[in-house]
Amino acid sequence: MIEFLLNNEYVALDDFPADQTVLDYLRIHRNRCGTKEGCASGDCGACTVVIAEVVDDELRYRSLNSCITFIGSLHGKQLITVEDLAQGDELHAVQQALVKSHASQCGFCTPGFVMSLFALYKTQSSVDRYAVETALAGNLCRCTGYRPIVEAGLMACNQIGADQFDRCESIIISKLRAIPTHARAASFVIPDSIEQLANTMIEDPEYRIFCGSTDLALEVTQNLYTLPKLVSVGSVKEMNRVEQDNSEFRIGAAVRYEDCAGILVSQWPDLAEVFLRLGSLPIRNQGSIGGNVANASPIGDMPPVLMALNAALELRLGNEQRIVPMDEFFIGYKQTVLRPGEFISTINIPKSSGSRLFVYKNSKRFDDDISTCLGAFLIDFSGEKITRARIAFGGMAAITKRALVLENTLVNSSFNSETLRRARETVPLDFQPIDDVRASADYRIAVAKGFISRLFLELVRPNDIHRITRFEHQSMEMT
Amino acid sequence: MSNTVSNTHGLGVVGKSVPKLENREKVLGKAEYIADIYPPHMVHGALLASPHAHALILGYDVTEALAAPGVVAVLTGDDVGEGRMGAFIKDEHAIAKHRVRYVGEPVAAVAAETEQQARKAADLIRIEYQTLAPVLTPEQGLAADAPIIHPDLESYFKVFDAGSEANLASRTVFDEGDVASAWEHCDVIVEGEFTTQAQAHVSIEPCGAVAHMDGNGRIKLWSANQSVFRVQANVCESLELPMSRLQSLTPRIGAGFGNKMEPHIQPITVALAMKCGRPVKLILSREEDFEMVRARHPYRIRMKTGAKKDGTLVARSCEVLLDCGAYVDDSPGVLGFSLLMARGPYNIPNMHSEGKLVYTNKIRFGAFRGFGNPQVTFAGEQQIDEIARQLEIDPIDLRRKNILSEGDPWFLGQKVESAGLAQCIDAVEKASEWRDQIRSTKTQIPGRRTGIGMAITAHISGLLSSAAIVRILEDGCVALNTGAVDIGQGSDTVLAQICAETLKVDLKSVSVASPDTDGSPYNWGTTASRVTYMTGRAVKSAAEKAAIKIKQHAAEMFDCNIEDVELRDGGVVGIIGTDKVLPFLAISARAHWAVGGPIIGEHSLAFERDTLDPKRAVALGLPFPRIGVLSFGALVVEVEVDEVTGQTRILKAWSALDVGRAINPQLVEVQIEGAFVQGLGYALFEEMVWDGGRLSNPTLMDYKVPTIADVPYDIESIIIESPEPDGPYGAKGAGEIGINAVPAAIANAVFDATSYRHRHLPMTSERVFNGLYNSQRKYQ
Repeated sequence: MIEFLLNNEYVALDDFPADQTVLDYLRIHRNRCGTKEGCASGDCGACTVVIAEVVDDELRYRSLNSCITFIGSLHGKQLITVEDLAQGDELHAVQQALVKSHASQCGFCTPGFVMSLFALYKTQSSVDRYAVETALAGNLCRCTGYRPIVEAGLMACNQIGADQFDRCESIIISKLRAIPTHARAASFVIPDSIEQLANTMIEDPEYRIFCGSTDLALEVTQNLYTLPKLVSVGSVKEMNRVEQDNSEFRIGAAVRYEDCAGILVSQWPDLAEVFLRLGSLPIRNQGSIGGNVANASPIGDMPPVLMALNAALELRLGNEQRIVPMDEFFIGYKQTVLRPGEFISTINIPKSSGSRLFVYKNSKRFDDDISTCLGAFLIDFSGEKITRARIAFGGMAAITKRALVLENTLVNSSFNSETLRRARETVPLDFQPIDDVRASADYRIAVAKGFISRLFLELVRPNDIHRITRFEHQSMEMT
Repeated sequence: MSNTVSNTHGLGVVGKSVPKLENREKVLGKAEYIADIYPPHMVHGALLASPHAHALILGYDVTEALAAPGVVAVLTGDDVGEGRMGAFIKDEHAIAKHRVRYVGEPVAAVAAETEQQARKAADLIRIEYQTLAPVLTPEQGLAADAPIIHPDLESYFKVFDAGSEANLASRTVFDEGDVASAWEHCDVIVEGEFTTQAQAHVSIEPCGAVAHMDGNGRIKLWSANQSVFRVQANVCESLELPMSRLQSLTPRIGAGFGNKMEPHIQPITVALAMKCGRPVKLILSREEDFEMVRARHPYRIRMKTGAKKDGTLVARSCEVLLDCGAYVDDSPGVLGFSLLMARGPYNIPNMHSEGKLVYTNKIRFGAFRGFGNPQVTFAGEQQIDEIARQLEIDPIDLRRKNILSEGDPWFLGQKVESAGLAQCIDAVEKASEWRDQIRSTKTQIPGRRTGIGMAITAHISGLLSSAAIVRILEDGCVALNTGAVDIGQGSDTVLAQICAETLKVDLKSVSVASPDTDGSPYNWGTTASRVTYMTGRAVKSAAEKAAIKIKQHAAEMFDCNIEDVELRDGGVVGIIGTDKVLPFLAISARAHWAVGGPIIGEHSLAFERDTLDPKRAVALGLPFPRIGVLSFGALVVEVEVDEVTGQTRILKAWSALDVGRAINPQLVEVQIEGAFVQGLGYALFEEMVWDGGRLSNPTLMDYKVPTIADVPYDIESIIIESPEPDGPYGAKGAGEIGINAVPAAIANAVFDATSYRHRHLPMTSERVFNGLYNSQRKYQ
């Protein structure tokens, strides 16, 4: 039986299709049609809802795409939809602001914007334009051009004042705490320990493992497959931790992007842009690095970074554990060394203090778009000489791959124009990319070469701004 | 920064940015869209799409599908007659019949108890095809040995002189002056070939319909649409039903941009509902919405423009080749309109434009905000820039020298009544600090370049007919009924403002009826930037007629002459020069219960100004004899290009539009900004890509539209008000014009940044990167 709160109402479900989405549940079974379906793939945000869960004695609110969230994932949480915000005739602050700013045109995307802004309202007491944009980058609006919506966000999320959710917080917390952390429904299992998970995976190979379901749910909503049995790693204690010592970070495979981005960015500032551009906030609230790696897409953004950082994966099969370096994890397009029933439990990332990580991404659209090419460069240097280089690229081959020829060319070279020339020439030796809908092979090679030039530029003139990023415009606005 | 129209009315609610009437229900999540309608006992429909670009249908086997769980009915081409629909050429059945003409074309439909059951059963329908060679480009379609897509084209009903032949759906030729001999009088001539891509509308609401047949065989149809009347016409034509059997209604619409003007799956939904006798709901998935509705036409444009040394434009010729896909839909209109707009808002004495519309085995291409204008503007406004650079004249000065003014004829002869173009140019020049911008040296940050560019444009608002009924209710409130579908742009609010203004009543006392073919007067559609201008005219006149009746009653009640009474604010009539007043309540009560009957004002009109002046110009295959009044616009953009990736970002934009009169300035601004952002996506990265006959990117994962992060921090929208004499309170349309100049202005700015002229859209990072590389090689 899975248990959750639909706003204030306690709900327990046992016999439900494992692959039923929260969106279908709301619209078909609860007659809550305010939440809209625009794409059923987590790309438009019209279905955004907010989930509250207890973290450190407080409720933490997050926006999610309900179209790619399985109903079982709600276990132990409070689900809040657009219907829950107003109280009688009185609109919630974010709704009032949207009305005042003329921020709704056709209105189909509006409930999604309402909920994304509501999550922002609940998580930050003061926001700037940048924060509003980051919160809304997963919500598409084809009518307004966004300006009125940003204004509404600034208006609403800089207000001080409690709403009804603050007033009910302690009641909700106690109701949620009464729900056990593990659960088992007819075809949906939520273990809370790694042993339970490992056993489930061994006992019944029909169970599909998932964390945020940002990718797995597409098999249901886009390919119309049935996923009869699901096991969620969302409550497995051991896989939801972030630990570190002097030499490494240990990121549980179920840790969501948003929950590990801060700590990783503080070690490697270049990752800020990677995380910002990786999916949208609802996707980062839902998706995990472990899922991104296990999914083995050649265009995932984290694998090249992890490969450059020389990360290793702890794998678990039954009681058996093994450690596989990132370099050896992928064996082909969408293929990994994972055996049936085996899963990633932890990602270990050496801190490589003294090295600098440079990451460059190119995609058609700035945010929430699959990379045409992503290059991650971990560089040690002494004076003007490169002493160590670990470099990996995504989007350049059927799998994420190290650029070994490039690494060999750079190590023990100075960063000067001759090294740059030789380094650029290695790209076609390391990679033979293909033409696809995103870019031609030639362009990919050219961009990879450009990344190397940019790397040199940044090594030589570290104080200049070389990249077009939203951060930079932000910092320019601030100054 | 708006100019103010001198006006004898002490305007109340017109010109005010009142919030849209339905904003509350939208933020509450209570607005009801097509997918939110759940009639009792309904079944769900699902479609089977053609896997072939071109094939004959030899037979259907539906036994397995019919036996599948939950299935109630299966529909194929055998279930519909030979009726065909189409706005210009009637070439399209309700569902594929005898032949499929594009990958994704609906070829069968299933109704089942759940959506999942319906979708799964659709996959069980077996169809025997004989595949045919497909035509994938218009060039292929025109080849002598090309497979013929519509063998019976000659016999199809056409509403204009199309000149159809083989795969040529229509052709149009316009001429004014003498282009052939004008070139020798030019000191500079620029010439080039431009191509533009297919753009998907991506209304966030996918298309859908709900239909139900009652016990008398009468059908009620709700659908995502831009015109309940076009829906009625298309369904009835394709299913051979008398219009009296179909009631077409509308829920709230999740935007259209042209996509929902002509039919999508309404005919199939109705046929399915008739077959299974229960309400049927059919909502397209995002992928289906990409693959089976319609898209913006890809263009191939050859353009040539010539000028004298002093910058005077002398001649232009423009030849376009349009892919209309499998069915012409609105394509002849799009072709004709681009050819009419290809001269731009300039006095060019010698102008020739011609174009061909060719069937291919692709999705139909049709109306999309701009309606063929962004494509020719992309070419034309870059050529103006090229001429300016060759002659070393500031691009703004060159434009100013050649633009149309009030009283000048548009291409083919229609007189321009109101032209705020010069003010638009002044406004963007000043706001962008144009002279300082172009003098400033390019940013010196390594790896980046900046550039600035401008483009100007015009657009029409008008076409065909509209009507309005204004009724005074018993208590003096006002019921407005126009049949115009508000697709989110706020036309209900704007029309209510016009009505309230004319009757001098509070906006809150005006209700706006939801369009319904049973009860609303005819309105051609929410398209052609026409609702404010055309339906607004109808509303104003209808309200004026109601006002006369109100005053007549009042005069009788006061026992004075009608000339002695006037409407006063707040829904009262007073005797001029006195403080004696009567409220509408008293007047309407009298009308309802004693004398004369309910007060109703109604007005019908069709757009009346001729496009062609036969004394000035010659036209062959003109699809619209009377098109509309002209709005104008000017746009400046500043871009930044990353030298490593070619990625282009828009830093700032200044867009000024002459909309005659902004009935609701906030709503106009949102149109300007929304159109700019849609144009930004079109200019930089939106592109439908085919692999053979199959669309490769029919998802929002692979087809990207701009997010909040792609939008520049500063889009300054500037409203210019140059009142149109017969527009309601001077208003002209604002819906489409904002997109026209965007790709051209960005291309001009990218040229400024990179010295490379982009003649192919979209200007992806890859293209800009290659251009940068090529121009460096060329210029160093």
